[in-house]
Amino acid sequence: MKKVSVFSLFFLLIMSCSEMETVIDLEIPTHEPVLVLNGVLDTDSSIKVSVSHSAGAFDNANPSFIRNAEALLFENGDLVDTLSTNLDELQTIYIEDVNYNSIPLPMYYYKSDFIPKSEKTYKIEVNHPDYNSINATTFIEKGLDIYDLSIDSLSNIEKINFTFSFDDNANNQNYYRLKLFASCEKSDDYWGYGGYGGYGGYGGGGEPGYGKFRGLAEMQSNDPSFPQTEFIPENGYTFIGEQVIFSDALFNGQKKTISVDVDTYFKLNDCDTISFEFSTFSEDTYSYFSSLGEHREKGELGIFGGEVIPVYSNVYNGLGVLISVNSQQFFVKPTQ
Amino acid sequence: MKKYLIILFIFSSLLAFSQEIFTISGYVTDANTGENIIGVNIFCKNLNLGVITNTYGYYSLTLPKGNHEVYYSFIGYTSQKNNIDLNKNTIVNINFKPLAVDLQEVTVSGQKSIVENTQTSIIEVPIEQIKNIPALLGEVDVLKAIQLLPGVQSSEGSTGFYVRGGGPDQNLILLDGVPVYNASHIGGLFSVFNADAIKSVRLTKGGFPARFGGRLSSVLQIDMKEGNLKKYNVDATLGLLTSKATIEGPIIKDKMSFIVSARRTYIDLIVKPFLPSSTDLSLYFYDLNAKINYKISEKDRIYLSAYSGKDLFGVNFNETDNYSNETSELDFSLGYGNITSTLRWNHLFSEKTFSNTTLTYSRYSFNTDFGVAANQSSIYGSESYNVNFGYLSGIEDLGARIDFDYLPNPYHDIKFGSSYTYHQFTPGETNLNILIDYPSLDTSNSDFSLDTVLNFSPEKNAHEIYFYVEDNVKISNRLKANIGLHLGYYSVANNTSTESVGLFDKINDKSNLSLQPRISTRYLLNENWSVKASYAKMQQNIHLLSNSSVGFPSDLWVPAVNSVPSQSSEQWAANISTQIYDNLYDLSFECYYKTMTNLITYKAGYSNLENTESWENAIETDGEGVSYGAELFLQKKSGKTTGWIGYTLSWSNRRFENINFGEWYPYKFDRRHDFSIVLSHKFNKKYDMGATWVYGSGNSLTFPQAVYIGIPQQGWENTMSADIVESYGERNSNRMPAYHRLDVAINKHKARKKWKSILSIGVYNLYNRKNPFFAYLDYQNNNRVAKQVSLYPIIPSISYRIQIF
Repeated sequence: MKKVSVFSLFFLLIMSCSEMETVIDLEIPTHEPVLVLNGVLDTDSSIKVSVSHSAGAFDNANPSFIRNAEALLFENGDLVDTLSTNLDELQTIYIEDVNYNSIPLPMYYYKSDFIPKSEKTYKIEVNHPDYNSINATTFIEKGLDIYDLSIDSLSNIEKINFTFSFDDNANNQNYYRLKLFASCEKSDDYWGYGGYGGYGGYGGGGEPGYGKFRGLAEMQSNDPSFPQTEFIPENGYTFIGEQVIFSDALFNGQKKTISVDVDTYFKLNDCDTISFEFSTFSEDTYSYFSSLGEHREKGELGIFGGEVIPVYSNVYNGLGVLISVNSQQFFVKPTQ
Repeated sequence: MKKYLIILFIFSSLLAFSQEIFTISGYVTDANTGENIIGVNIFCKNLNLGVITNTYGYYSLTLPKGNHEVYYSFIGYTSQKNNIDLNKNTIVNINFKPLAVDLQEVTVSGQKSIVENTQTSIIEVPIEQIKNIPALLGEVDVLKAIQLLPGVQSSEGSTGFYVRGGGPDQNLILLDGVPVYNASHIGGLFSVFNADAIKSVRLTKGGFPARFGGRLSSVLQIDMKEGNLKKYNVDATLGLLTSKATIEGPIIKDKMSFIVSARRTYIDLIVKPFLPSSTDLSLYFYDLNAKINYKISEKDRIYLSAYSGKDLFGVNFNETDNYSNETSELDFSLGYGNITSTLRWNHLFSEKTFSNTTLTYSRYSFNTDFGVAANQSSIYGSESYNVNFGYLSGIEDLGARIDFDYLPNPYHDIKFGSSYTYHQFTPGETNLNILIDYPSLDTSNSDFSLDTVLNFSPEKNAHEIYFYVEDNVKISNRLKANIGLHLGYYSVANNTSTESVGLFDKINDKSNLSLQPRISTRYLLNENWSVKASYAKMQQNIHLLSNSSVGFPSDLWVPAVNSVPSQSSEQWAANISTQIYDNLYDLSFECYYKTMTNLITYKAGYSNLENTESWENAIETDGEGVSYGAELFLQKKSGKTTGWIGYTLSWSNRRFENINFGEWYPYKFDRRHDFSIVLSHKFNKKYDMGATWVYGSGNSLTFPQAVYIGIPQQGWENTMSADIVESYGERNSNRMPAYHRLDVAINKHKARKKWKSILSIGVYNLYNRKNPFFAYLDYQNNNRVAKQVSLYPIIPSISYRIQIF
């Protein structure tokens, strides 16, 4: 009896060391693919959007683009155009698979020559025989007047300072985005400065070994309206980044002066083009940018990280997002 | 009209006793230990009137002059009948003799407590029954036993519990009347309550009497033993992971006694011989309970009790490189624990008026420290660097309360009193200290120092006061009600502000006052059946910031402030109760509906482990909650076979403006079905066994439903790329697999004149069910899969307990 007891206890101990992690089947309802609409409307350019379909998160199928949908454009409720694909303009888009391999996907933009106007509401409706119809709406904010633009490359030999002002509209809650773009022929060997594209804006990045730079430049600021990226301020800067999205919560209805610095390894004289893109956009657009940024930053959070941040979508009956920006580009170099 | 009714009611009550009346009063104690017994039925059969002993074993029964047969009964004790010729106020102290276990299956005379009791939603589990429940690693655990009751949800690996859809912070856990803020050891593996030092456990889930306040969902009262007044006892248990010892006995026989109980784990001591000499490991928890009680006189009695417990995990590693002459040291420690103490004075103003005055202290603190230091000699001299990171959070309470129990006649049991608590919150402070010191000749480097505070949330203090009055009134032979009013006052005293707020500075601000009506009613359908209904409004002035995936000792207690107001709830419950099979089985069926407001939760993406902002910026506020369900409970407390069967069908939902697009979503611990069966059986004097089987529907969680292509972006060299975005659908719209588990234990008893022993062999999770602890997403063979982490497989245990007396 004692032997049996000892053996049983030993067996139980061995069993207790078994695998703690198992793959499980969750009760996730089957996902029926839906239409996905993505587009950024800008007062500076004609409209182009992409249409694709979704796939179940646990399915083997990948999402892909759709080119035979009907896309209707409405301005303030009136049909103004039908967006169409041009079969001569095949684009190849790269998405990453689970192993971080780039997978090429063919895509045709749905385009219109129509140029959106500020202070108008635009709706795009997409119909396809195999899917439920979807639609999304966005409002383009009024543009801003930028003034008192100044560049100071003398006060601090290590920095170039850019300053400008604008007047905030007191009637709305306003959202802004600022990017600094540069294209430079550089004599020194600095490279890799800049990012790999912003949110729907410029792409960029260094060209290794060629001493050239083209892309978004890193800005530094201690503006209290900017999100704090440096919790231990670096040389007094609380924000360092390639673009900044902020609201008027701290200056509603007032004159606002923005001041940003750029390190001097970004050499003014070596650059052909330096420009700011300053955009204003609606709350929808702000929700999309901020949720996408936080979703990317936080990722899948697991047991220690709290709840995941979902990416904002304003597409009714489908997925994706239709957003709008009213952007202005003002050139530091060449001067206009 | 109402006034007339009240006067009529009072008059009729007085009329019932217009003849000469006298009071029988006294304490009911255990004949073997001298300890007071709570909840003993005292019943005058010829008048069909009765009372029960209060928390301190005191009773008072006022009857008309004359001869009366008074019955004293309590499960597990020999019932007594006293013939009393009542012609003056009389003190009758009762020494109750425990029944031999094999004689316990006899009909208990007197009142049927579950049928008679006015209160809904209360469950009392005898500590001896808890001790028979098979336990993880053989360590009997009060909170794990509570998790098996209907209406109580739990998660694997946690001693936290969720009552009727409420959060773990909404449970008021009282150890001898003092709140315990974190009742877990080893992150929830065990609770802080050493079963050997505990006398009684009561859980109230709804229908709260007015004397309770400060939490929305439940009150768990755990009373420590008072110490044997008759003789010395030593009780020691040797287990796989922990060992414990309890000693109790008289200091002055029948007047003053003590009890000291200690428990400690010893993993670190076992592991130590296997560690290198350069590494020092601390990995343990301990509990220390102590209590002294002293009968000053027949009218006065004082108790002093204290608890101290701590978890500590620490590693110290140091190394010297003889070649480079570099010394380095790494130091990490994580510790958390509670300290509580109570000074209590029972005083009898008269036979009808009992008072209890209590001073309390409670502290919970959590801290982590991480340090790296190194010294090195170079050609320029000695250089060193030192990096230290520290985090501290906690809560500290000082409190005082006075309670009166006035029993003018058997138709009224009036309780009234007041409580004051001064809370001191430290909601999380992170210190970072960096010191890099280069020799002055080394011009290629410069010294660097940083001493800063991150994640700084200023300390806050708060005053919390309440007054209450309640009357457990017998309106007729069938109808009884507990009607009460709880008046709360709360204000924050921000000691970091120049504008310091005093105790009553905001008394005129009505938002600081809360009026919380409470009512429970019972109607006897017949001798064996009763129906009950209750309503309770509750307010909670403190919040727990808890990671939504799992409870951690680092969870933050924070005060209600202007931007994060107090949470409140309203709960309705309806109950039908009976006793069946010669009153051996208690059976109840209860439905409830609870609403909650001003709930908080972390914003998506935030948790206290990585949050670097003030807590007020990291949370969603103004949340709503609703939960409803039905509970079935069948309990057998005496006899050779004891235990219970519980089943709960429930729904619990939440809504926050910025979560799930403002729509209602299931609470993390929304669990549709919960079932438990707990049995213990005594075969004979030598052997008994226990078995538990639990089943719970899977908890809810948020997983992606779909993937789609994001906005195309132009990249370098005009290449186009797009993100794959995951769509998560509605919050908590997925379910983890169901939880179920079977535990069994068998005990062998050996008894001699001076000692007895119990050898326990048990198996936790007998059929090795891989129960979900948490789930996460991963890739396997290029496919997206969900993976589940399980904590406890089949775990055998063995323990040996010896009692010397």
